[in-house]
Order: sequence, then C-alpha cells, then structure tokens
Amino acid sequence: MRPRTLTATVAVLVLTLLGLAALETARSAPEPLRLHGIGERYAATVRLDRARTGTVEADIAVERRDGAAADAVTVTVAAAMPAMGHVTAELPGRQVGPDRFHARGELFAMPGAWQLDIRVRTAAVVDVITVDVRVDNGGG
Amino acid sequence: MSIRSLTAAALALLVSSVAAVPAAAHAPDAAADTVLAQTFAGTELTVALRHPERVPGPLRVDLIAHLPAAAVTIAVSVRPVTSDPVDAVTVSVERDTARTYPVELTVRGTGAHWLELRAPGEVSQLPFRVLVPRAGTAGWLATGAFAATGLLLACALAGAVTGRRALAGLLGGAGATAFVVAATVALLTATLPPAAPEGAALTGTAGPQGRPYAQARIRTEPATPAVGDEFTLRVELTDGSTGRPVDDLVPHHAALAHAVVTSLDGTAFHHVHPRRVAPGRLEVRLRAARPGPHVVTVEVERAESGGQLVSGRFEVTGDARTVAAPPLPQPLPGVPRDVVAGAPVRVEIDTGPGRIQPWLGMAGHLIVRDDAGAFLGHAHELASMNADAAGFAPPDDTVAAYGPTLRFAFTFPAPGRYLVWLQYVRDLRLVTVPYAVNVRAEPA
Ligand SMILES: [Cu+2]
Repeated sequence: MRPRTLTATVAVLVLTLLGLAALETARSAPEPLRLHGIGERYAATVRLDRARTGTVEADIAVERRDGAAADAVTVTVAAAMPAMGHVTAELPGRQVGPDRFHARGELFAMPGAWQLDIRVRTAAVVDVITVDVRVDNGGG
Repeated sequence: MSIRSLTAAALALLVSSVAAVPAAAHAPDAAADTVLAQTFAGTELTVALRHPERVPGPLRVDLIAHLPAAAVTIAVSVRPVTSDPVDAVTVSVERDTARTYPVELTVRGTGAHWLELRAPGEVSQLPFRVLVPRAGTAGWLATGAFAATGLLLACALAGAVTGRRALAGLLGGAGATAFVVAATVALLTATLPPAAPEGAALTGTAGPQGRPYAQARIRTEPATPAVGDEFTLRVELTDGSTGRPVDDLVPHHAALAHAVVTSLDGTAFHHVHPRRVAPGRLEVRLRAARPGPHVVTVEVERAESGGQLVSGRFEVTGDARTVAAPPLPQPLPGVPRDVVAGAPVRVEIDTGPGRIQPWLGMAGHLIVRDDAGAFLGHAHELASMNADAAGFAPPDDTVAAYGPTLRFAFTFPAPGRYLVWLQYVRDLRLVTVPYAVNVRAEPA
C-alpha cells in the first residue's frame, strides 16, 4: 500500500472512531428530561434536571385539560418503581408562578424503570398524573 | 497496484457492498395482535387489535360479539396515554347477532395507547403498545458505511478509468476501509440482540421473583344488590409493597382480568371480564340471579410477573321463591364413579353435533369450585392446549376448529363436593353447563 493510501485509510478509521465516540457520549450524557402526562382533569409537564439517583430538581407545570383557568391547587411529586415495589415519599411543590411549581429532593433510589406520580390537589379533587421515566446513572 | 487490478478490486468491493447492505433488525412482536375479552354492555366481546406496522398507520380492531348480545352503540376511540383521543368511530352492535364488527382507526405515534370503548354508563380502557421496528445506531452506521463504500469506490473507479492513479488509490483505500467498518459493524450487529422497537416499554428489573403481589378490595354498587337487579362489581387493586394502584396488568389467558362470580350455593354462575376504568380499578355490570352470599375470584397478571388470584364476597338480598329455579347440576360425565382427591382425573365431555370455536384462546374451560367457595381452579381443554404449546397461534374466535368432544384433566385437591362448570362457544354462543362431583379421600 502506498503511503498516501495508508494515510487515507488511517484518516477514515480515526474519523469513524471519533464519530462513534461522539454518538456514544451524546447518548449517555445527563441532560434535562421533559415528561408529559395527563390525569382525569389535569395535564402536567415535568422537567427534571437529570434522571439519576441523588438530589433531583423538578419543575412542574400543570393545566386544566378542558382549557379552563386552573383552580387553586397544590402539587406534589413522588416516585415509584413498580418492578421492585419501591416508592419514595412525596416532595412538596413550591409555587413559583401561575400553575408552575418547583420540587427538590431525592426521588430515585436506584437505576431502572420508574414512574413519577404528580398529585394535583384542589378543594374538589385529587388528580394523579403518572409518567414513565428511565433512571440511568450512565458511566458517572 | 496496476490500474487493472485496482479497477477489479474496486468493482469486487462495490458489488459485495451492494449485496451486503444489512437487512433491518427484526423487532420482536412489533406486529403481534392484542386479543382481549371484555364484558361490555352485557355482551361478551372479544376485541382483537391488529397493530399498525408504521406510524401514522391504520389500527384495525375486530369486535367479535358473542351471544347472548345486547343492542348497544359503542364509541371506539384510540389515544396515547399522554393525550386526548386521536381518532374515534362508532359501532352499532345488533341484539343477539353473532358477528364480527371490524373498525379502522388511525394512530399517529408509537408507545403506550388506550383503546377506549364507551357506551351509556360504561367505559373500558384496553392497553396496547404501538411498536415500530427500528434499525438502531449500529444499523444506521452500517448502512451509512456501506453507502460510503459504494460512493468512494465508484469515484475510485472513475479515477482509475480516467488515469488519475494517485486519486484512485486514495479513494480506493478509503473505500476499502469504509467497507471493513461497515462489514464489522454489520457482523457485530447480527450477533447483538435486535434494537428494541420504537415505542417499547421501559423494561423493568423485576427479575425472576416478579412484581409485588396485588391486593384487592372487592365491592358492589349498591353494596347489597337485590335479586333480579343490575349492579356493578368493582375491583380495586393495590400493590402489596407500595400501596399504589396496580395499573400494569397484561393480557392473561386473553383478558386483562377474569372474574368468576358464583352464589355460595352454586346456583348462580358468571364468568366475566371486567373493564379497566381508572388506574387500579376494574368494573363489570352484572344482574343478580340468585339471593344469598356470593363469592368473587379474580385472576390477573402483572407485567413481568405470573398470574395471581384475588377474592372477595358480597350478599344479594331477596327471596329465592321470586326467581326461576336454577338448572340442577348433572354428574360430571366421563369420570369414574369414585373420584379420588390428589390424583389427576380425566374428564371427557361430548358437546353434541357441530364444531366448537375457541374462546380465550382455548376450545373449552372447566371451572372448578369447592362447596365452601374457598377453592377455585380452572382447566383448559387438552387438544387446544397442545396446539398452543406447539407454537400454533390459536385460530380466530370465529373459526370452528375444535370438538365436538372436549377432554380435560384435573386434580381435585381435597375430598368433598365440587361444583364444575364447562364453558365453550358454538356458533359464537357461549354455552355454560353446570356439573357436580363428589370427591373422596385416597384410601389409607
Ligand atoms: Cu375469563
């Protein structure tokens, strides 16, 4: 093989490996997670800073599914892992805006398939919105 | 390397790269049907969902009405679990007409969905997943590398033909490398498990022990129904470890839940398939046929777990003299005069002329209850069970494939009197025949 051919071959190989590494990094990097679900009366969107064990920051937005103005509500978030029978205690949501709440604390005890229960309480009803979340501690 | 050998090598690689483009990984069960029995608006329905293979795509749903059937208009809709319905149609079920009602709905995305059936005062939510096969990162990489191989080699060929030897060599080398990458990835991919289809569940980690057991609160609405009246039987399932509603039921013997409701004296018998109406909540409407205490047994299966039974009791008020006398149970045919506890006994029943259609994936069921209402078991017909074990997909509920003689084997666990109900379907009519058998202790 000529030197130039060899150079090209090596270049292609290196580029391929770099590409693979980039793909893998992009896949496993912790990134904010946006989850959406609906209950009987409310819809909720949860933004988690990361789906990992340890302290998690959760921003929760709720809205009435029928488009009506939201009632005065309190919002909490709890987590459960159906496969293992784990459940974590409710974290209270601190109101940070109209229909927006913030919760902070430990939700996930271990990696795996979890569910978040967003509990919206009004004077009249308790609505539970359940969303799936994959907890993956990745390499870190 | 001479021009000729370079050209030949490039051509050979080009041909093999075209031939070796990897087929998309096979996605498991992406196109499997979901078949679920439902007791809806007084009719035993089999709901068969033929899944779409792409999205947006058609979801075909066959509603098979068994007799006796009530006249009812059913609104059928489909929605992802996270949003409102995306498509809906209505079906008019005719009174006492055995037939299939086919409908077609459009689904727009993958993942967990509900098929919802609605009629006045009743709702049923049937879970299913829309799965679409996908090749995965490795698949795309292999395909891309094969494409690059082709492109580079074609250019190398052009270079060689036009006498640009250095360029041809360079491109040829790059093409060969791309081919090696593509072939390696393709070969590795073939040995890896296929990529999960798009829309697949987050697989849990329950392990061989399965998920925690479910506990049930079984009630009726009204609390004590009167004989002759309609009432709702409500089953609330909670997780034994977390206390949360159990909302992960999977098809088990072709239904989300099987409920056997009998009067303690055995004169009333219902085998029904409650509807999921809310997380952890199942309901079914029944008509109280006989007064007195009633026993309820519900069989369910949680995801990643085995089947389990939950049970409860309720009372029906009224006077037995005001309702028609029940049919007297006959001696169980085909069994020896002396049935001994603890040893399997063969039961052979001739159902009369005509072939039998499958129901719940089986040619027939034998439901066995002890006198006290504490034990409940069921046996499946042997021929259809053998076909099932051999990997044959059970025929559609409309295909008369079995009988007329049904064979079962069952072990009565302890001495005493047992009530036995045979159930099978002919001409889409559900037939229930009550039997009774006395079981004695094994001689010492
Ligand atoms: Cu059943």
